[in-house]
Amino acid sequence: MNELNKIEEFIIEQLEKADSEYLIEKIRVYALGKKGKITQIMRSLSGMSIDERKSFGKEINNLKSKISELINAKRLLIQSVDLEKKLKSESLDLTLPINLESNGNIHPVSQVFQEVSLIFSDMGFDIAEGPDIEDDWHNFTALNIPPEHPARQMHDTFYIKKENDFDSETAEVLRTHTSPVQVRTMLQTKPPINIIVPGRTYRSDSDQTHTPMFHQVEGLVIDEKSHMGHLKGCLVEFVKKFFNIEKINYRFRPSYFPFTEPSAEMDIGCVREGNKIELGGDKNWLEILGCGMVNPVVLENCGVDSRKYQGFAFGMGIDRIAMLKYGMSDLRSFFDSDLRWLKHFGFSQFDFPPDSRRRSF
Amino acid sequence: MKFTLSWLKDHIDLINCNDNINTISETLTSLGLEVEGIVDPSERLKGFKVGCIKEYFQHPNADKLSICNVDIGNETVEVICGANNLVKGMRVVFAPVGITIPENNEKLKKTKIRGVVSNGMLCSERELCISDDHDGIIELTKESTVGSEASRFLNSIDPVFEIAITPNRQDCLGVRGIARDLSAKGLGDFKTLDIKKVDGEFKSPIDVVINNAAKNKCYVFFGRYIKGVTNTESPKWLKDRLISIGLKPISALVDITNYITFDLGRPLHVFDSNKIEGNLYIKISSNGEKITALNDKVYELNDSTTIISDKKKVLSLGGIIGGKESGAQIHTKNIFIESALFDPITVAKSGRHYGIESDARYRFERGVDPNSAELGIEIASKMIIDICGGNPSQIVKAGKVPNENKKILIYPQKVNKYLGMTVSSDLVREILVKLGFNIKIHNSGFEVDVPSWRSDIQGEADIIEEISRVNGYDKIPILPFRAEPKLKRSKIIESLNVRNKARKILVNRGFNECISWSFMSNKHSKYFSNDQIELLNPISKELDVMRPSIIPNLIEASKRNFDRGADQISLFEIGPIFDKKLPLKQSNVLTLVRAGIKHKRNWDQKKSEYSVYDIKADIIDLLKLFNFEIDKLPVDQQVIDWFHPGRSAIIKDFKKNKLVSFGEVHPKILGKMDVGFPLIAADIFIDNFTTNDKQVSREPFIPSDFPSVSRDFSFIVDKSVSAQDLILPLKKSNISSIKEVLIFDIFQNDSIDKDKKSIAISVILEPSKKTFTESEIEKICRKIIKIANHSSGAELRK
Repeated sequence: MNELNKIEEFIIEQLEKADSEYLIEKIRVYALGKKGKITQIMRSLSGMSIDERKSFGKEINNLKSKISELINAKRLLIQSVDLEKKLKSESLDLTLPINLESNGNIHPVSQVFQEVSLIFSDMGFDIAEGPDIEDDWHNFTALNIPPEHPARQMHDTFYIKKENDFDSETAEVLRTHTSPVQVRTMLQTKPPINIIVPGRTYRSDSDQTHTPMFHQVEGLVIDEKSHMGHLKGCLVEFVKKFFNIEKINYRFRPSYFPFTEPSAEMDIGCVREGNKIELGGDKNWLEILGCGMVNPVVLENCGVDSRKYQGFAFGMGIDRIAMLKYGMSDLRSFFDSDLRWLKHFGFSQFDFPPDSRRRSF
Repeated sequence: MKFTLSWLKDHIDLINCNDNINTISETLTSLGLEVEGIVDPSERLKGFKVGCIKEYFQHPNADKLSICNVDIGNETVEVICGANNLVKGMRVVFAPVGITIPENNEKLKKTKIRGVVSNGMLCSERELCISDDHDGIIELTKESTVGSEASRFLNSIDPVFEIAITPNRQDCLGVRGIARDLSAKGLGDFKTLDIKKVDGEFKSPIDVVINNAAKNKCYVFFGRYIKGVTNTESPKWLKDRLISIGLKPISALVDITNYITFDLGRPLHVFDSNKIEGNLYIKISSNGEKITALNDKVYELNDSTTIISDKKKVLSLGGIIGGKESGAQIHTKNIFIESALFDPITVAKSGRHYGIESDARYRFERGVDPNSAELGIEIASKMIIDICGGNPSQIVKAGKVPNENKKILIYPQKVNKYLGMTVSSDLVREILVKLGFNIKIHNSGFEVDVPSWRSDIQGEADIIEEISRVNGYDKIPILPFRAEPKLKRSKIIESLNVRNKARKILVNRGFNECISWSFMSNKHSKYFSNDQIELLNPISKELDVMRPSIIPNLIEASKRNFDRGADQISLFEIGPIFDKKLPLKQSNVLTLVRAGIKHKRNWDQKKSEYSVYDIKADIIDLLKLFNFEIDKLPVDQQVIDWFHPGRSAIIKDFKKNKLVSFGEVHPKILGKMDVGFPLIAADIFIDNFTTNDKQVSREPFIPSDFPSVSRDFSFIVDKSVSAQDLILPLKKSNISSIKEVLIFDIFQNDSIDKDKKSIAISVILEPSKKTFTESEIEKICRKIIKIANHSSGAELRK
């Protein structure tokens, strides 16, 4: 008995003093190891009488579990103190700046075309494209712009060099507008036709608002019943949605394009102060697009029966409406690839409008 | 096209608009005659008041100055004035203190002049910029109301309109045509043209002959000889009109022809008949003929210009410009007037050929009213005789006025179907009649005669436009439009979706999208193609061919950015490239470039520059997101002209369509393009991509519950063996349990043969049915070694 108490006292004393897992382990081996004190006493039980074994056995077992609990408790305590110490030593300066993987930018022309295409796709328009290098017939003649027509002088046309002598009839040009795609579509598809056509266009011109290359988007509707009222409705809806101004002022005024008759230009209301243009308001007018009913001459040139079919067409500068919506002032900077400009006017991929909602079947 | 309000009123009695400039302007624009600007002199005269000189007396300290007591309505003020035309009771233009004087654009201050305060100023015409007159102050009529705005009573204040005329409306290149449109819109009554004919007194000594070859180039020519004119300065009203629209008065004879050009849209020419030898011949020029034109330039003619000549020399280019020598001078005594009709196409061609822009060419190429030829000669004769005197001959005529007499049938139902609104037959009739059309009932519609001045009207649609623009586009209803879309999504939409997806992937990887010209310099393009497409008339030498590749444009863009201080350049462009060898001469390409440092300087990243492996990572990521089985697509290392010969490769899909070519741009090309830093680039042929819609049901998901194991192999191979030679056969092998093959070490050193290198790989194996046994793994490993040996001669390192 006395011996057990002594052992217990000694172990507890040692445990209290212990300040590392190493010492705890040493104590455990001393007490409970294969050759430990308590283990040895327990082994000695086999030489005792049944009664002795019963009472002493109970005692020694209690001691064993008490010691082992104490050891475990002390071990946990030391572990947690150790961990705390370790963590303290591991502290980091979280104010250090982080290098983000830099995100790039989508060009405003891509963004704006996507915005435009979504609005028209909701109205049921499909998208068509055509080649940048066109022949004279598709770019001019089929569109009711015969060779010496004064309207050709409004287009400062780029011509492709040929091996033989230049001949305006067989000439190849850089398309001066996206309208030749109207011609290609009408020649290939039977009405009803509802398309918009985006693309690069070219005119020999260069200043703050003109560049030798620019972007247009064109629309064409051919069926048996679409009229000027629909043309107005379609474009008014577009302008409201695109500029995101419900109460935008607009007007349609007569104009002239060889490929439409009647022809109109659409102006929207704005307030102009110096070089700054604010959309909405009604102090000034700003021309944003040309449109009209497709000229029957064009329909016939493209093999569409003008007695049965009619429709409308419209066209506008993508760069130009981008400038109006997002406030760029110099068209030339669109094509300069200046990273500072691209970051300033570009768009994150997360702000890019979704693809056309129309699904294939 | 410019004109003034008073000029307009020569042709229209304005009613219902009170001469309100805004009303007239809005009406013009609504008719398609877009007002580009209005200069209203009364604007700058706002605030100048009518005053009345009650009395005036000499300034005590100055001989030439007077002190006037001026009644300005609500008070009488003292004003100092130096004019010598002062009269008691005179109505004058009073400038109050604080107003801006138009002449010097300065604010008028209250000043003491020789000890006396002047409370304003009495104005001369020059001070108000009305004319150069500074001889005295303006005297207004007695009817001018004291205290009211002075501009109301200044009659030389005439607002100037400037309008844009679309190419179809040559009839509005004369003020009269504009007046006709305004009257159709109800702004007033169109006045009839008062033509007073002059009788010829004798037979013209000069006759006119149109040569056969020129018969369809000059349809008709009216001429008249006038003897004994006195060419002078034009009368004030005529000079004022020409000045108001920006023309310089020259002499009465010239001014009259210019005036009629702008008044009626009828170009004319006056010859000094003393310079004409014999008759006038209208003919086609011969190569090498020469003329000095009125613009002082000498033109050497081609063989297709319509010219007017006498028996010896070319006198003028018909419908374009007159000759200097035979033109009317101030001392000209005898003249011959030309009023002709030239073929628009020939005029346009010749005008463009010689680069001559003239008021005559501008009108003739748009199609002058055939009937105005005879009218022109009469009106010009009368004006010349009125102003310059002289005796007129009888009129000489050659050719015939073409009589087109176009008739068009128009049905109100068609008008309604086109405009989406009902326009009554009465309104249709009213509008057309006011525009000068003759109209007759024909079945359920009308038969319409097109007036001679409207050569632009060709068919029903043109008539509908006339009706709708006069009726007002604002009356057309606004109806919602919904197309009936075709069910099948077009190929183009698919291709646009591919481009958009690529955009998003690349922007996510840090690339900036740019758009560069479709053209570039031949100097650089030749490194990229032998079949480039050249421009006939490039805008500059730097942009003289269609780009056969986007890479050079992006190299230049990188250089520009580098020069601006950018140290991290990642650009891409999606767009067309052009080459004679391409099927449609063009195709869409996505081009990437990277240059500079990979990361901004930072405490936890080492400084490193972009290498060809970075762009490979971009490509692989992109291909993976487009669902290509990148593990199985070989990278075909090969020489591409514009890339570093040892650092370029292409990737093709299983059908051998080229997907990508990439590499480090050849240092030689960078040198030629003056670029001082390395640059990596890739062309991605996205026309061969599809979006592979993922919105479909997928394979069932069966995860393997058995642990995967990995085994490392260290192989020795020939130096020339590529990593792909070793690992691609393993990936493609029939060992289905191979999930991944990683390369974790490559080296060459003295411990191995000089011509060899070591490649260490780790193969990850995943069982499908049960846990691998050691002997199974052993078997697979032996197979791996065998395949490696077979495909690339690899030996396990001892």
